[in-house]
Amino acid sequence: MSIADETKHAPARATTPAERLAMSDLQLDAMAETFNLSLGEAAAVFSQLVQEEIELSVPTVELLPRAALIERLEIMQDSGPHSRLCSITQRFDAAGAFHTDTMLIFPEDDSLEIVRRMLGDEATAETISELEQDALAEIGNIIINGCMSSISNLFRKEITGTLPEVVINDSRTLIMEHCTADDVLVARIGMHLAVHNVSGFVLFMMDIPSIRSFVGEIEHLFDI
Amino acid sequence: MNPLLKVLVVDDSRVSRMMSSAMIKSIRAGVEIVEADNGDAALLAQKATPCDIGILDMNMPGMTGLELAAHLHRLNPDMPLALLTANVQDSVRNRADEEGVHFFRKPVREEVIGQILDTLAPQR
Repeated sequence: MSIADETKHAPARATTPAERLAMSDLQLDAMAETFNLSLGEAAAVFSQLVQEEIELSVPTVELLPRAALIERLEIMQDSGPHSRLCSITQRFDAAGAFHTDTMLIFPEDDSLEIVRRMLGDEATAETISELEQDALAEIGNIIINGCMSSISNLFRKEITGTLPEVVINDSRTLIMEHCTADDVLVARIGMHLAVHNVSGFVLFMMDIPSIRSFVGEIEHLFDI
Repeated sequence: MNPLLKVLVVDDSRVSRMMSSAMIKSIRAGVEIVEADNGDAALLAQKATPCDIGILDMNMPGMTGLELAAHLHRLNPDMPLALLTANVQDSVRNRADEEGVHFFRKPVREEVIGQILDTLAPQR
């Protein structure tokens, strides 16, 4: 069924993913705190990567229907002169307990700015262009692994991941190609550089069994 | 004059190898660097040009950095090695300890490369 069909047949007041998963406010709060810790770790690594102090927004964690996520990303995509997003994706498996496609997303212009900062002022435009894909993969690898390592250490569970894949495309194509789950766990943090606003998303795309298992780990962690 | 220090740099990311190599050269004079983009290539390079120390990424196509470390230590049990990785899980750090590999966190920065050189090959 297409998203348009889903919308057409939606009830007058659709249940939220959190309601469908029967998650309590306390569970959602504990989940937010878990991602707050891991995204904070990722942001610290990002700051080292661009060699500049960065201002962070308060991380937000939501469970969204896939169609709503696409709408959010379309807003982000349209904020720049080019209508594409850069995504770096890695798939992680936590010893069979849960798996997630973790995706780091920047507007395409912002991703180039980050590559420039990573390579330093001496890098020529030719060098930046030549190394862009490799640098983006490594940026994603560092930020996403910072995030997932933090979660692994909190849960005391080893998490194995694939190598990073870089894709530049419009938001709808990105999500439709990578996300088969109807509901998506979306953790977002805004990262702003002094001279160039960079706003990044980190998405954790899990299916329902994985979300339930993840919540189970959080309940164990926070003893709730 | 001190003999030339040979450093094996293994990372599947070309940009990380370039940054590491440039920083090593800026910190230490008279260093020879051998680069490889995966574990198999690193083992071939080490047999052809034995290096004194090695700086290894963890997540690479084929064998991991720690699997490579075990192979390198079979060739030379005394070779000082560093794992330079974004995979900072406690389990990975513990396995590095067990293998006798020093653990350092990415991103590649001059400060970190300096610490690695001071740890693996202190200047006399």
